[in-house]
Amino acid sequence: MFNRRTAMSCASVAVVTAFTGMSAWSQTAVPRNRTLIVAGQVEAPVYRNVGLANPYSINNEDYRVSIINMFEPLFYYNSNKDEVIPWLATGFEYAADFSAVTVKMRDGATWSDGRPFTVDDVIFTLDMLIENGKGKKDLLNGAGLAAAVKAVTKVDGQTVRIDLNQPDPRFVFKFLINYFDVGLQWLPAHIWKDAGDPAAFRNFDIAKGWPVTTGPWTVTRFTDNQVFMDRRAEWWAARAGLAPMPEIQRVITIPGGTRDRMAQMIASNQVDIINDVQIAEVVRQLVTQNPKITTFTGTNPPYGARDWWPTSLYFNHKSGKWADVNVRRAINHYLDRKQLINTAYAGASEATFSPFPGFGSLKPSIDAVKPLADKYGIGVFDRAKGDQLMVTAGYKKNAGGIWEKDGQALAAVIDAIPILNAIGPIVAQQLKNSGIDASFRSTPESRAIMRDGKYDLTLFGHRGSISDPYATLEMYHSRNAFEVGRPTLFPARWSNTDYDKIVDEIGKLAPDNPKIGELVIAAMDIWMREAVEAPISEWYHRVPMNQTYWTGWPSEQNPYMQPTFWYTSGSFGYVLPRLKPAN
Amino acid sequence: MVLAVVWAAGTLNFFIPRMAPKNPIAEKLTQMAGTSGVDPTKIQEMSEAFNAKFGLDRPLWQQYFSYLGDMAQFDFGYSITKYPVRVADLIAAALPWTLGLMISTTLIAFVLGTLLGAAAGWNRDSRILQILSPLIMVFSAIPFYLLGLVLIYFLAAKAGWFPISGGHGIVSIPEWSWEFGREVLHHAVLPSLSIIIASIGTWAIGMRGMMVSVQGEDYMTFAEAKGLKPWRLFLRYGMRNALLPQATALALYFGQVVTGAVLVEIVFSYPGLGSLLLDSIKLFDFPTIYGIVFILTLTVALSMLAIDLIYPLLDPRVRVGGRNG
Repeated sequence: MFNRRTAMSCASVAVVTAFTGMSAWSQTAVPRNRTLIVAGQVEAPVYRNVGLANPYSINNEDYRVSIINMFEPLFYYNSNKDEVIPWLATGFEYAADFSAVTVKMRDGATWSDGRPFTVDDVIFTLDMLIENGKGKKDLLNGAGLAAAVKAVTKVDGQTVRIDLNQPDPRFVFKFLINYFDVGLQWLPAHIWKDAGDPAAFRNFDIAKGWPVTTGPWTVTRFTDNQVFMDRRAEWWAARAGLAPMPEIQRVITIPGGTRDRMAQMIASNQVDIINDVQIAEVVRQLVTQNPKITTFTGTNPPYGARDWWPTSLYFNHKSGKWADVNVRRAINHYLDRKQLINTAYAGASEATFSPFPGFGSLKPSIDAVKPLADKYGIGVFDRAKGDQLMVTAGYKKNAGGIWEKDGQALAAVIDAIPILNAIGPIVAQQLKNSGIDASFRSTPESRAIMRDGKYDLTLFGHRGSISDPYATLEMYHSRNAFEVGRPTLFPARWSNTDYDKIVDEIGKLAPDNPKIGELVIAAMDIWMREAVEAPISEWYHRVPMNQTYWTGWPSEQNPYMQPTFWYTSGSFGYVLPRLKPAN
Repeated sequence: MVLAVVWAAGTLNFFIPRMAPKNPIAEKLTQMAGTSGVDPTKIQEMSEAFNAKFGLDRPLWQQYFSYLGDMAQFDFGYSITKYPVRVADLIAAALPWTLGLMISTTLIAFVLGTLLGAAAGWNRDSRILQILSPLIMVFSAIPFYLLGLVLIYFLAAKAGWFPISGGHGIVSIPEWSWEFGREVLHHAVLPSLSIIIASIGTWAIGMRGMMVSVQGEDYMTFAEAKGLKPWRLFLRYGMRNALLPQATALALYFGQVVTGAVLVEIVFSYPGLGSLLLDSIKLFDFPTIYGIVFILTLTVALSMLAIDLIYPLLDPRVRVGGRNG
């Protein structure tokens, strides 16, 4: 009979069953003050891709907040100082016509299994990706490399020559220099050559010391709740004097769960760094209430480091609704960016008038296009001017105060992904106050609606330029103006052949070519005149960092790198050896 | 019969997710394109490559028959959005947590709620029960996760008696030791409490109603007239007869055990099947959805079969060839 005794027995069995998921082996404990604990945001409350350390798998999101920082690039790039930092390579040189680039590897770099890192590893990685990009197309970066690279050749034991399909003075910046989410991870040929299908290869085996990387860490544990990266006894970069040996003995990365939970964990000093909290007020509370917590800008706004994702309100240029430039310019005038930033970000951001993020290296371009923005009213809040433009476009206000043309009221739904929920309703209300029947919608579908070009208006960022203006300008090239239904994360789908010609011209010039300045102005004159979108504000990664156990975090005073540990460039690997124990 | 139920449920399980005009590969690539080496303009090309790899480019009927064949062999294949992880591995990782948390708390809530309901129905004049009953009814109306948030606030954040979340400590390493076992149980207290407190009332309400009905039956009057002792009347005549619908409800409830506490798992960062199912639905990861729902279907079907087999033990009237059979 099913009675209480039976029920309690079943409960006991169930609790015991829960233990079956645990491994039976024990591991050496490391003191807390020599352990760095990172709470990374992944899609689930736990890691789902346990044991997947393949840098090129499309499903490696757990690896991306942890193990990726063990991989070292040929070059790091510090956007705070516009500085290229040679690492596994010592330098590169383009052919005079930019049809090829020669890269020189550093002597003495070694893999974690003791084998030397050589030019053959670089060639193997590139060839593997190019072959995949031409064939199966199931690895990250494969398609891009296949389109760009004609051949990879070994020049000598330390030098590789990469011939390009078309001259490209930015090839190195697109693939060989690691920053933000750009850059490649290099693979040990002696292991990967026997991997079989590279998309199915996990690159993980603790007993074999996999993943083998050149970084100072080795993975000793990877479960659904923890990734342990323990310091190795030896690291080539310390030997070469490039970096100090890390004082961290173990890096533990845990799935952070919700942002609330991560904020609770760092507030109670349980973890040392967490993902972007985003809400400025929450970060303000954290740094105010716990003096051990700091941010890239310390305890001052904007409480974070600038990202390459400035926010804009995008018009769907494939929709006839926004065909009239006067309407697009009017909407630019209707947005009160100061009010938006004060309300949504507690004042902790800056308004923008161009699609460029405000990095120092881009400042000359941003300053140069400011007069154009003023001329065309981009980024300028002026409701009366906006009303004039609407009248010019043939609209008049109906009894409800909504702009109307040919009996049709101007209505719009603004779609946005959840991280833009803070500003979405304010943008909608500002447009409503100005006579556009706008509403805000953020649902699980919003990203797909934006991706497929099926939106009216959308709020989104940019992942374009960091060091020179070309990448952002290229986003608006007609080749990216896909038809509705074809997915892309360049939402504008705008095209202009005159603009294309100028951008193509810039693409042929080296980033330091003085001609670029005037070409940027020419391109942006078209962009501003056409009011392609309505820029809103800078985007900051508000990453709280706890100094209870570790100091030396990147900051405005010591901006040696971005503090963002989830960038797929693995740039946080540069930060780890520079952290110092608090005691 | 069980096979027919499993086939029908499995067929619905296959077709219903396919009615949404979504492609799991495109969803995943879009998600990843925001932060990785997926070229934002190459989503379509990569989607096509992966569609072929996972057979999503084949006619639906072909996919259906492959699916039936795979399910029959308990081969759930690879997760699309977590490739190269197999669905069986994902389920195996999540299942112990679900069993440990949900099954045990469901059984505890069932036992406590049933006893309380029986006592409340039997002894309606008890002052303690008069106070307890409405309180439990109120708790039964509060969702698990909401109760969880309240418990976290008071017992974890304010009092500091329990951890805020997780299945064990951040730095601790799972091992076979009493110390670690104690830690797991310590972490399980708040999620368990939130489920038990909110569930007891549901079971108690049902049982109380049945006890009141049973008390009016002729056999109860007859037993009382025979001069049987009150505890015997309560247990053997009252509870035993009132328990039957509860047992059926428990069998059906096991189907909801996995899905019913998704938010509890999220609130407490508990790594169970519920949150795995939710993740899979969000990204239209068909194989994982199929695998989990298939397990659920099987669980409910087998639970019902088990109840059918146990019923004659609980109620001699339904025994084939029994006294009343």
